[in-house]
Amino acid sequence: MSKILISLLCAFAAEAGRPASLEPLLEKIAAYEYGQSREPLVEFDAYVRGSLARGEKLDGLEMRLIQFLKARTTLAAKDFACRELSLIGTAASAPALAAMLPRAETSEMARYALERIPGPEAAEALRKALPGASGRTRVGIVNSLGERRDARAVPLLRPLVISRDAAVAEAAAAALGKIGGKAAAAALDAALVRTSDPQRTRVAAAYIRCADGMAAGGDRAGALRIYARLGIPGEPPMIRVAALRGLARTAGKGAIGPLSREIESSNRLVQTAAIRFLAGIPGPEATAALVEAVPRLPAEGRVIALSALVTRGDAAGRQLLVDALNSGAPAVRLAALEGLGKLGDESSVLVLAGAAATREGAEQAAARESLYALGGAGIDPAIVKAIGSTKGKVRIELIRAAGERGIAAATDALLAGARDPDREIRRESVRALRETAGVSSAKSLLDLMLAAEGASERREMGRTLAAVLKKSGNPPIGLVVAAYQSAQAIPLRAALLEVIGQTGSGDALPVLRSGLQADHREISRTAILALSDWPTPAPMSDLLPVARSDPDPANQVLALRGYLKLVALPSGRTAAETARLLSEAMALAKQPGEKKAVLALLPGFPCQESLQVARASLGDATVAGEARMAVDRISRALSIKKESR
Amino acid sequence: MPARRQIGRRGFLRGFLNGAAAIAGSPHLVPASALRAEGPTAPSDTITVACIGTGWQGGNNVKSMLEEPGVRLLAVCDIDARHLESAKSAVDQKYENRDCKTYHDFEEVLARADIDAVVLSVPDHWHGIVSVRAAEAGKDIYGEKPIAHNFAEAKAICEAVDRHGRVWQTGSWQRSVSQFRHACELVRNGRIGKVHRVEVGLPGGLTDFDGLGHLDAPAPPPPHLDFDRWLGPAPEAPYSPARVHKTWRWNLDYGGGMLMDWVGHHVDTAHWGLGLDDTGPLEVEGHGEFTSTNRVWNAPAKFRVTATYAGGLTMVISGGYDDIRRGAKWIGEEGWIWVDRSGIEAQPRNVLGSRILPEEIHLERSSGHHHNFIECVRTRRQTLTPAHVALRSATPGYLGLISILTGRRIRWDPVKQEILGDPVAERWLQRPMRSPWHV
Repeated sequence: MSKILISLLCAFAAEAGRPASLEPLLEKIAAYEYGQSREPLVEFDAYVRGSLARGEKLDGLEMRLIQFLKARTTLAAKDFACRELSLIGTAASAPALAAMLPRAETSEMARYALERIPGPEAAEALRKALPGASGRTRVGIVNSLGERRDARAVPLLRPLVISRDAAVAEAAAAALGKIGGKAAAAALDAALVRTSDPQRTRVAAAYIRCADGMAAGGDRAGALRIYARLGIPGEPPMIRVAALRGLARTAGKGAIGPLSREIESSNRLVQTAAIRFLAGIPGPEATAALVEAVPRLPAEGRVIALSALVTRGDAAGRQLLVDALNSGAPAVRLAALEGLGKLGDESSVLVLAGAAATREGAEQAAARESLYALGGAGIDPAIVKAIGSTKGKVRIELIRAAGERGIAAATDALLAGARDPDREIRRESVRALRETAGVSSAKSLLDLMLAAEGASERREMGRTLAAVLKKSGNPPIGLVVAAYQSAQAIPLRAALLEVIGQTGSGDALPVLRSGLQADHREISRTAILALSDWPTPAPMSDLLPVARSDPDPANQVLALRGYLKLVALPSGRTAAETARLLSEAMALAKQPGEKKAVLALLPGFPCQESLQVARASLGDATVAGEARMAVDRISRALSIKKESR
Repeated sequence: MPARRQIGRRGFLRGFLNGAAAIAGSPHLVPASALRAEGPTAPSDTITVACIGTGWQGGNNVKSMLEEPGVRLLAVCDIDARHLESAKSAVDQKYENRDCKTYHDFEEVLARADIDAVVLSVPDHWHGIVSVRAAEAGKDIYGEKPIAHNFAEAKAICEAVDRHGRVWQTGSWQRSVSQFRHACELVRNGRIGKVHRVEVGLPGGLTDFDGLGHLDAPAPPPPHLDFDRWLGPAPEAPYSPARVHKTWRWNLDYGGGMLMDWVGHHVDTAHWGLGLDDTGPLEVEGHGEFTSTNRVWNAPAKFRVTATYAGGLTMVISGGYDDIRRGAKWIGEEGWIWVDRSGIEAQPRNVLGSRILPEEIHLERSSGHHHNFIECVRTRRQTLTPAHVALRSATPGYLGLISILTGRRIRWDPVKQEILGDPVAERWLQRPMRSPWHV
């Protein structure tokens, strides 16, 4: 250990109130090389963190780290010290860090610290080092001066902007742009005429950045002069774009004229940016400018302009959207259909329903989405009214919309539609009723179900009835149960039993359980399926005996599958308890499908018991792969649990 | 499908951009006189894309862009020759030709006038530089989350994107998944009452994705990797397999641990559900647990960050502890809603069946995150996750990490986006870059 280090350690130990425990730690850090254990670094970080948290003064620690830099410590140790100083260092660190700047192997780490340490001393250290620096070191110092926003560096950076060293010139331009202010702006302005591309473009970009800073600082006039200078044709497109953006933000309504002209630019980047920036200016004048420009734009520009009008939410754009529905360009039509969903009003209802009925693909989808999304108090009544006054596909679209929007006031119209001679209208009405009808319509829906023609319609109606009954916290299934008990035809009884099951009502369980015992297979099967879809694990104990000993093998399989579905539902069981249930199920599983289902569930309940169940299947060739996967997943879950404990 | 008009989107740019790379041979050039004509077919042109960074998530992004209708992937770029080769192979296979160009340097990609947009899947420490350069070059950008390595670079990206009128999409793709949107709509529309607490569960640990974590001793870099370029703006350090691909996340010079890796997902979701896209916390306090078992990985293996927002809302972001479930859980006066990639739950349960009425808040629907980006490139609309939103989502992470590393409670001004009264903590908002890099 070097003599300097020993003396430092002693000095440190002598510092009032400091524990001596850091010495061994610092000794280790002094010899640290990459690839060694980071333990001393972690400990040191924790120490610094604790001191920072307690708001303690860290002068002594800073001095230690400074001495580290001067002593014969490893480069990795110096790097570590510089990082620490970047966070806790003060002006006191500047000289030692400055001394490291000229050397290639220490320049970067020193600059890392100097860039972060606040105060004029660190900045001065960088400025002083700049003239004598070269290569990447020089570029780095320029970058750091820019990051520090060091206005006193401008005279040093000014000549570098036109340096023949491209990297230095680029860095100097960027730094001046960040520093900003009149002096930096003047330097960049002068460089504009003395550079050629690619450097000129970088200078221009930095100049715009200066202008942005000037605008933010209140010098609007200065900023606008720069934007005006760089926004003209002939400047690179992205420079013009940045200038237009600055103009839009700074001049507000004053930018409307220039932006309106640029909307017709033949350069797409400039054109699209002008539209976007114009759309960002509040007020009716900007809307008017956009509206006025749209017809003159090519299709691509119109899409963007229409989207911009929609984003503004200004109803003045609505007619443009309607006009655009008949554009020869699909993208324009699509933009219009999408836009009407946000800007449309009652008059848009039939327009959109008509488009949904007659168009295809993306346009049809957009028309539907917009119809569903239209906002405003008058929309729902307009849809209800239109259902009664339209026919065919338009009426169907309106019926769909009533469902999507959940328009309760449409229920009567939809109940009428459910009796319409047209099959498609009946079907869509029945589906829409799921969203619109309330429990008070249950009797009407039951009547419709009882009168339904054919199994398919009866099923649709049954789903609607169940969905509506479920809207009540305690579904009133009495009417349906009465109908089930008095129905004679088996298919109808099965359909009613299905509805009873779908409600999830507590009153349904006894009915379903008795259905399990039914003589007729269709009824018992319906009961099994309904219990399988139960929202809680309650029917597990009903399904297990069926899985075990129902005379019909198909029912056994259905019941077992249902049982597994219920086992997987959230419950208060422990993993071990669930594993035992799954073990029981595995004993009943005769087919690979059911065994695989058990194996797929086991990893969700990782414990020794589930691991045992999975392992027991490793010898079964039909499911060995699944068993191995289950064993792996459970084992991994168990080892993660062990680690985290 | 109508034939696409071979419009000169590129034709606009040719002859106007200075210093543009040669675009001879581009099939999309048409004379300027034809550019404003409205043909009988769709004027929406093919969007040309390049992917910069093609390893892991970069490879996934390549695949997504190849599946995206109306997109043509013209180039791939990576400084790992193996990743590059794999990406080019995927593109060539899809297009059944060998036209896709490969690049080592992203600058060359950005100089191509015939490329409209770039997908950036580079490590976090590169996000700032490549994103800003891309914006300056006039490219629209799909950038992976978190938006940047640190707050200052994230802010620089936002400024560059704004200054140059670019479309930006962050890879916070959960916003394009219906159950996340559904959960957020329910919360935003008051289905659980006023929310007073949100719990964000993130993964913890320092995952050894490819089992190379033990290779943490200095070693010569492999010939297929330009390691010095890979380091880029990060401080000089020796190569080791544990330092680079995937596990760079666990070194704070390149990533921010699991906290920053996931903040762009579940914190973003949490913010979306609360309408916090344009604001931030008032105070952030964090604690972390560090290990020294790996010689390269120095990010916290476990962490807990508590952020306080206006109105008394508390957000707890936790990783590596068992008490908070992975995902986002909003807890309100009338119940709670939890959502994750695996599902959505609520108390009371019937909240989930609640319909959002037309006059209520509707969050934007997306048929795919990459698709949303491409649509917005065409329409110039704001994407689902624009840059300024990504910055807000990442900020609790940035401040949380600063608090973890300094042991201090951070007070934040969400309007000015500044740390209040703590010059030491302020230094952590940015990191100096190795020469010649700057943002």
